Amino acid sequence: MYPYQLDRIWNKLTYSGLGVAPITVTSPAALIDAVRRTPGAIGYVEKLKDKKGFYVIEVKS
Amino acid sequence: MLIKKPLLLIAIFYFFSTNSIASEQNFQLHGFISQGLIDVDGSNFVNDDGGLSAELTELGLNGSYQLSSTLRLTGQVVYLDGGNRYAKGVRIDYALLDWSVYDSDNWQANVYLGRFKNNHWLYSSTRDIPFARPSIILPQSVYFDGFRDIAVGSDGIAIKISRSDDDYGNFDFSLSYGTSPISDEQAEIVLSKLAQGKFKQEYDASASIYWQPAFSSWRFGLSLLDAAFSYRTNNNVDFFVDGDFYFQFYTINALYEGEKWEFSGEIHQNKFSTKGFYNPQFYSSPIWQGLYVQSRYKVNKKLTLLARYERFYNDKNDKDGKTLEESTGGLVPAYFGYHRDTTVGISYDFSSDISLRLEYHWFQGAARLTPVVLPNPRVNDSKNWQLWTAQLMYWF
Repeated sequence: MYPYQLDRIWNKLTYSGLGVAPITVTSPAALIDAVRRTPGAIGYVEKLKDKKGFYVIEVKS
Repeated sequence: MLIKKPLLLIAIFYFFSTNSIASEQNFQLHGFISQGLIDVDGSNFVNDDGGLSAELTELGLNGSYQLSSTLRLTGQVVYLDGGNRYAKGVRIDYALLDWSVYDSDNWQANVYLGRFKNNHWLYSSTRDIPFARPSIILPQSVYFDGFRDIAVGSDGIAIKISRSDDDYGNFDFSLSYGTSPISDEQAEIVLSKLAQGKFKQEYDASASIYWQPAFSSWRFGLSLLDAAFSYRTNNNVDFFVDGDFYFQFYTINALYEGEKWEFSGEIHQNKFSTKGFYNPQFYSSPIWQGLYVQSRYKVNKKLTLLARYERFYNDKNDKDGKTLEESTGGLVPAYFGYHRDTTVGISYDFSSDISLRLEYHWFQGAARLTPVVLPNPRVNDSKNWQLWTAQLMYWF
């Protein structure tokens, strides 16, 4: 899936009443913070300094 | 599946964890502002004088409030000005209660109550959203602006069931039943200024199924619509008599979304029956046919090119309109029997929320000009007509 396809899916949901698009964050730090504060959330990050409170799986390509 | 930007994947999981997000942020507000210029040469598509027009304004504001883990209230108000294309003004685009009935790893079912958008055709749910549709002017064979207020959605109930797995892919099944209120302006656009009676939609029942094979860039769809309308005269001086109209509209579509190239197309057929209206004994039931094929090419992250070709006939047995001309004693020229549109366009994204679009259309035929029931060959006096338009849009 390409980024533009995701944008289209969220735009369709947001502006047609079908659903709710995800809350977007603007930086990796904000993403880490959002995942920490949201039970059940999952996120991808390149680096994570403080692993406390996270369950971390390393993805190798 | 190719993930170009791994960070974006977080969004997917955010979406599936809306229950917990909801506790943080129950209310969401979004909207869009757009303004354009449009110049039509040779038809009354936008205005009667043929001059350059700024009647291309689309504004929208929507809110979504999560009442509980399974219930959500949402609505959108839009202001539209498209000249002759549709009635100008503010309308409630949708206002509904979204009930998430069932949610599991593979299945998802939602019931929508209230005013919902038509979600059955390829671009029907985003036809008024400038940045979420493929072009400023959509293919008129399917997304006819003259029917916009009727086809855009309904007041009633809609159901959407989705199923997905890695073997068979994604299925989306939608059902809807309802009616659309018809304003006097909309009645005038469809019928004519001479129709003084009450034009009403009796019902609209629609169903559609979409299938995206597992890990495929293709998506295929099929939709069925059955709708009835009535016209009742309100006095003795009406130009018309009581009448009933029936639509049986079928579409099939395909969409390919690759990294650079995108292809889509939609074929439709519509049995349009009229009983009465012109005179008490009148009956006609022509079959409309149309199709378009479209391609978009992403030159880079900001620039996208568009090309599209479209054909439409008011009667599949009278594709050149000659029978129409003969049957009206020459009053309605043959070119009112068909519509062709060749479109090229570009779209430039200045950022993730500001975009500019430009496009040019070459048209042949007047079958998709208004009023529909009583055509106006005095204003639409040429078979060939052209249109260029530019639209700047911002959304949040």
